[in-house]
Amino acid sequence: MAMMNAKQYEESLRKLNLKVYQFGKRVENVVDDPIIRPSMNAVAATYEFAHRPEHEDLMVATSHLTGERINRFTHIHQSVDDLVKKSKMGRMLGRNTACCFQRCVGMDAMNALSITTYDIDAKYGTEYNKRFLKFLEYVQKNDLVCDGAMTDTKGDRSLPPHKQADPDLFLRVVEEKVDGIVVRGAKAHQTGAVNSHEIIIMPTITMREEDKDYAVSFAVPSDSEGITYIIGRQSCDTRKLEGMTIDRGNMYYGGHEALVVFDNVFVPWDRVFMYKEHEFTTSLVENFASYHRQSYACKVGVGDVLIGATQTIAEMNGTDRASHVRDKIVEMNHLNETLYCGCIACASEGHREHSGTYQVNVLLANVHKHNVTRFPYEIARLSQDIAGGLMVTLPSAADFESPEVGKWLDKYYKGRADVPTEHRMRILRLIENITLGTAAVGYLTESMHGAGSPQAQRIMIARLVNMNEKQRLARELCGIDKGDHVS
Amino acid sequence: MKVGVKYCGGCNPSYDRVKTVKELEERLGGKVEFVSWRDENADGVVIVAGCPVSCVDGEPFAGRPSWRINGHEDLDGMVKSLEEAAGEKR
Repeated sequence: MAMMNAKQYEESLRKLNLKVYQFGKRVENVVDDPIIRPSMNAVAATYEFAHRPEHEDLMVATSHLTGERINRFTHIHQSVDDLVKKSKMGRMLGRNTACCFQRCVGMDAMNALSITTYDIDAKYGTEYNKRFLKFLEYVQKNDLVCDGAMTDTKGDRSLPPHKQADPDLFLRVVEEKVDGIVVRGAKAHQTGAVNSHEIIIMPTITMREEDKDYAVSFAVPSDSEGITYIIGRQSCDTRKLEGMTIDRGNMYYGGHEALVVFDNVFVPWDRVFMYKEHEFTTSLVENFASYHRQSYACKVGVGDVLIGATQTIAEMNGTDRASHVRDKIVEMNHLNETLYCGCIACASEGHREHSGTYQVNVLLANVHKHNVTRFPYEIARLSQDIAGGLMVTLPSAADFESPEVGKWLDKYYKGRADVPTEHRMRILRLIENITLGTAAVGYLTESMHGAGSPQAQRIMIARLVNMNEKQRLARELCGIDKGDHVS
Repeated sequence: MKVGVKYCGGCNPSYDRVKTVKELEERLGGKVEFVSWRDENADGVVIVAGCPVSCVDGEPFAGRPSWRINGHEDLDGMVKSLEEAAGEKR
């Protein structure tokens, strides 16, 4: 099958029989649900853009399995160029959707599994890599969306999985059968879960011998028996129930997260990619985390939109020539492009693993993601500073349309005389959407905690930085130790 | 003359690449027909990059005439180059 377009993707979702709950009720028509639909649109963009000549250079790759043209989101990186294109694709899609387009997590899970399954097989003579490659080929041929599911609900953070009061707080194997395994547990914060065809499960932390029942990785169809999705709320989410009004901010796109419950779900052996090899959980977690930290290239694209919106509102307010406003916009760009430096650098410094898959520079990926935990907040703060308080005190779109009060809003919320009040309202709503509305889930809090909270990156930075070498250089240059220097 | 168009992926273009190609087509006034870069009957390829990095790999077009646009400012030169190439083709 060739790469799907947006329409074909939408139709493929309609064939799924997902068990989705939202606001306490089962969602009968997931694709057309007004709150979920914008997130489907964002994933659909990853399909549509692969068919656009002006984006295919980033969106399309060549399968190392079949030699066929495939969507990059189903690709295993075969070179540094692939890694760089992944970062660039993230920015490009971020700037065109201004939200989380959800598909990177599955790509990152598959790339991590391509490395770790190979390494497990090398040690134990298992066939995980063979199973994984068969699954990968299926994903590539059918151009599927995979939800990469790592984050367990974790219960008491001070206790390992096997010591939790409720053993299901980390997803685990509860039964081994001749033809497969049965698993139980839940994965939280699952971005794009109900827009996915498959779910790829990975352990969330390093597991020890006592936790080997939790050291499991596999893939199942998203509508497998026993899987339930409970959609997470987002700030301002019910504005989407008000129709295509200006109050949505972003008229087309959005994201979603869900709690995914696995209530005794059967997984056939040919879909199991790790089974109790607990000593490889660190490898899988770190490989996935490194790729996913690179993936925050998307925030640079969202930042592009926010900066564009901020410049626009400054012009509409007549403040764009004020020196402090210009300086703040320079600062926003400086922060945003610094983020871009990180995601390009970790890709450019990538390397080949034993499996043949290319992995990013892990230290630089962690540095990049650590910047992402901070800079979007500062960019958002500066945007709100320039936008002004009207962003949060603006009456609704319905008030603007009201025959009684609409005229007053149109009159008194006018900025520059040549700019329609409605345009000013639209750009303010977009800034609101990104900095504290539905899209702030992705741009801010997901930037903080997605792919690991800041402390996770600090631990990795401390571990990976070559401190001995830095000390050697310092000791030699100040004369404590003798080195081979020019004198 | 038939010319294939190959765009970069557009991660952070400094100008509207698609609009620029349309403008190029209009200015050439029918002397050049733009087609997909995959069209094997194309007489050459215009590579349209969004910035001076011009990251599009030229290897697939080796041996065929190719021209690069890295910014809107390259438009005038491109019109001239393609007019000349079309003239030679005739």
